[in-house]
Amino acid sequence: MIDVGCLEDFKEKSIRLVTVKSTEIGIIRWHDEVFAFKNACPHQQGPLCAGSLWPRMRAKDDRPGSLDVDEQRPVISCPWHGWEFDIRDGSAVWDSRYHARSYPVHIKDGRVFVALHGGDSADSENYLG
Amino acid sequence: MYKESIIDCDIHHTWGSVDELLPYMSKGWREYVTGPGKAGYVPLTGGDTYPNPHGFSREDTFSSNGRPPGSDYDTMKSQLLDPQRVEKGILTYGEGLFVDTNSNPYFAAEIARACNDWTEEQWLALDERLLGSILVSNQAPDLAAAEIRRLGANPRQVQVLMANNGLGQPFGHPLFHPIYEAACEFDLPIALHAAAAGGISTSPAGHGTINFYIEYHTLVTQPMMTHIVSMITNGVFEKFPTLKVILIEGGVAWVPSLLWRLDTNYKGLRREVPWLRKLPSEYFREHVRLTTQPLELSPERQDLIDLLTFFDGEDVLLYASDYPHWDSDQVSYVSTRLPSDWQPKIFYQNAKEFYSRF
Repeated sequence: MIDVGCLEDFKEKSIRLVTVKSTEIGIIRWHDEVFAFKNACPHQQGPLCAGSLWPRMRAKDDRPGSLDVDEQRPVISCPWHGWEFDIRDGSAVWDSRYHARSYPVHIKDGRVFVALHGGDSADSENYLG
Repeated sequence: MYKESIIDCDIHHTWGSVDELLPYMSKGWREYVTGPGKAGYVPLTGGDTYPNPHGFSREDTFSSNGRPPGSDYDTMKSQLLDPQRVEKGILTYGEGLFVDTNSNPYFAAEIARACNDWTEEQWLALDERLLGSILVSNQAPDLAAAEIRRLGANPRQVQVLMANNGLGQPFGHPLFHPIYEAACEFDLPIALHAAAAGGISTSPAGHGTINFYIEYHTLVTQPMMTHIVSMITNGVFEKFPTLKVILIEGGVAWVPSLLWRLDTNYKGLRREVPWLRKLPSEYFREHVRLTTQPLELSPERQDLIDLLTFFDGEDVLLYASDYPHWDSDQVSYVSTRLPSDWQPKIFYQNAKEFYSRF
C-alpha cells in the first residue's frame, strides 16, 4: 500500500491526480469514501480522471422521460466520450462486464493508501467498442 | 429453391375505384367525398410526389378485366397466393396505406375506418389465407387507438399498420404512445411500412427535398432509421415491454451500422436517456423484425449474408413479396440469395412466432 496523502487534502466530491510509481491515478473522494482509478479510460485511453464526478442519472420511477439522481451510486464520466463508470467498482454503467481500472484504497490515521496491485478490473489496454 | 408453404407479410390489396370504399364511409363523409360533383371526388390521400417512371406495379398485375394491380382477388390468387404457396398473406393496402398524408385528421380516421371494414368484408371473407392489418391514421393518435380497440378482437386482424408521418414527430414521441398502448392490449405488433412522399407527411429523405423517384426509393430506409431510433431512445420498449414492431419494405442492410452507432452513442450519452436499461441493439433484437423486401443486391452474395449475421438476420427477417409492386421479390429469387438453412425460418417460422395470432 502506498501513501498518497492526507485525507483532508482530497476535497469532497472531487478528483485529484497523483502519480504513483509513474502511474497517474485519480483519487476520488465522495463524502467519506475514497476511491482510486487509473487515469486511463478503457475505451480509448482518454484521461478518465480529468472527467466529471456525478451522482448517477436515472429515470424517476423507471418512467421514460423522467429524470432523477442517485447520490448513492456516483459515477465518473470520461471527458472524451462520456462513458460512465461506477466509482465503487469501476463497472461501466451500461454494461457491468466492462470496467475502468480501479485500485483498493485504505484509510488509516487520516492518511490515504492505495494498492497498485489487486485491482478488480480488466486490463485498461483493452479497447472497448 | 424453397418449395414449402410460406407466410407473405406484405401484400398490397387495393380498390378498383374509390366507389368501392364509399359504402363503408358514413353518410356525412360520403357526402363530403362526392361533394365536388363534376369536379370529381375529394382525394383520399396526399398523392405521390415522386412518380415511378415505370409505374408502381408490375405490368403483368393488371387484371384481365382491366382492374388495377392488387384490386382483383382472382388475379392475386393466380399470380401469388397459389403459385407461391402462400399459407398466410397479410394485406397492407395500396393507396389506403398513405392515409397519414391527408391533412384532415378526422377525414383520415374515417378513411382508415372504412378501409378496415371494406377489407374485412371484401377481402378477408374471400380467402382464409388472407389476414388483415388494422390501418390507422396517426394524425390523431387517440382516434387511431379507438380504431384499434374497435377491431382488435378480430383474430383475422394481425397487426396495426402505419406508414406516413401525420404529426411531424418521429414515432417514439409520446404523442404516438396511445397507439402502442392500444396495440399492446390486443398483443398486436405495430407494422411500420415504408412511407410515401406526399400531402402533409414529412419528407422521407432527411435534410433536403429530393428530386427523383430513384432518390426516394433509395432513401426510404431513412424514416425507418428515424422511427426505430426514436422508439428505442424514447423508451417505448420500456414503457410497453410486450410491444413488437415490424419494419416493412425498408430494406435490411442498413441495420448493423445503425445499431453499432447507436450502441456506441448510448455508452457515452446514457445520461440523457437513463430509462434505457440495456444496449439499444438489445431492444432492437428483442422487439423488432424486418421484412426481406426489397432485399439489397450486394455485388457478392456472401457480402449480404455476412452483413445479416451481424444482427441475427436468420431470426429477425420475415419474407414479404410486396405484390404487386414493381420491386417485389419472388420466393425463387430470395431463395438464391440466402442460405438454404435459413429459409424455413425466413419464409415461414419467424412470422409464425412473431404474430401472436398465427
